[in-house]
Amino acid sequence: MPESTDRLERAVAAAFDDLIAAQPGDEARLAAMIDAALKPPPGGHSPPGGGAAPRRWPKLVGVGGLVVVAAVALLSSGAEPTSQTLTRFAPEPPAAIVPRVVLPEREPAAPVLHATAEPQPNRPASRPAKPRPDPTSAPADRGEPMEDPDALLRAANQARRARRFAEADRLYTDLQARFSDSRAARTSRVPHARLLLDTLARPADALDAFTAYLAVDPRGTLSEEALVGRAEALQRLGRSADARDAWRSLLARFPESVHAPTAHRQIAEARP
Amino acid sequence: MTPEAVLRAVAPRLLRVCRGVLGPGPDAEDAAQDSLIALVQALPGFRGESSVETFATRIALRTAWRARERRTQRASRTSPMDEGADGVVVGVFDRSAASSPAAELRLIVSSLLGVLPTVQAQALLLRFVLGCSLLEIAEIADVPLNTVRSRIRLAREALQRRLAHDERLRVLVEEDEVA
Repeated sequence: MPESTDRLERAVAAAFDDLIAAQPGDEARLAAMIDAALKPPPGGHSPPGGGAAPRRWPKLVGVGGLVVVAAVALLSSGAEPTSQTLTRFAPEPPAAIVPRVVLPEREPAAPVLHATAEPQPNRPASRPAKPRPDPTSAPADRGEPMEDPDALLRAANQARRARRFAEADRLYTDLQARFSDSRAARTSRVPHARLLLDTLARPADALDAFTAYLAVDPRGTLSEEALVGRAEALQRLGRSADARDAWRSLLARFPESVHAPTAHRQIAEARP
Repeated sequence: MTPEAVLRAVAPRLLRVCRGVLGPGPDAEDAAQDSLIALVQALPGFRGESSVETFATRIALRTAWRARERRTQRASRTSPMDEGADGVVVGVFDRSAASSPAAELRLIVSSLLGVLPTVQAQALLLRFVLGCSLLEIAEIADVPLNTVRSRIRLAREALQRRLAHDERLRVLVEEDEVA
């Protein structure tokens, strides 16, 4: 895969990162969605994607507690699915398969689930019986040392996306220490800072990283993201006045930023 | 493992997939809920040919994609002005917000998703936006690895053609190391 391709993939991923990332309140939203999914309404669920499904989960936010009984009953009764969905997604009759959790080797934040069932004899020839090593994986995944800052950045990003947060933190730090003059190291400060702020709960370190990026590359492609991150880090540290100034900096530089409404709201809320 | 435990494990990923297809907002959240319902209904038929996560992602992708198509049709019926130049509903990825290179890039990718053949568009989304490996995409799409490579190559070429017309983004692609 040519290098320019890798850069393009990273650019697109970074552009979408904030929009598809977990947002405040997601935990409650998801709990309510799960509750709604496990609690079939009278008459059964309408076919998902049918376009008329009412939004049930908002009503359930705050109710708390999930209906374990319903889940167990669904399994133990071997209840037949009632919609067209099963036909689409699972053309064969329901099998008595109970998935079990196989914890990943590192950081069990995102359990990898596998079924206990043996592979089906009619498995398509193109599908491997066992997971094969990903040929696109970074050298770090294969235990090889990396002397290329681009490869190190790629490995760090992959680790972050795979939710191997501690490994990602280590790789970003390694990149910045060993190849401090490289463009990869400079660029890595923003996703690293975002990781420190959102996941690792280290707002002071995140603030340093965002600030370092802006100091070196004040008009860099990630400067918008760095300005937003800097403001959020300052808020997280309780430095309201500095955070307000940071939001103003964002608006001055990117008045039409997708984060502009947030910035205006934060500035208004911080007003004495 | 109970359905509840399965849903808890995969729900964040499903929401992420739906946001990738539809942008953040109520449409994506509705699609995520629909996906969870579909997953509960499909679990008894799950044959273990892939991980449950891959199985769930496939469901979420299809569900969100249908929602996206419905949104496009709805908007074109009600207000042709809501459509972008390529027939894609701009929606969350609004052109007025495309002041930064990242926003412009989001807009171009979102636009491409609406005009590429579905299989290429989904490969582009899974690979570029959601960061899936080729193997993951092959499992989600249930096609051979070489087919995935081909789809991504075609989608990438289309994206590069778009970017070639945008001086700011051409520079972004060539020079930036966006993570």
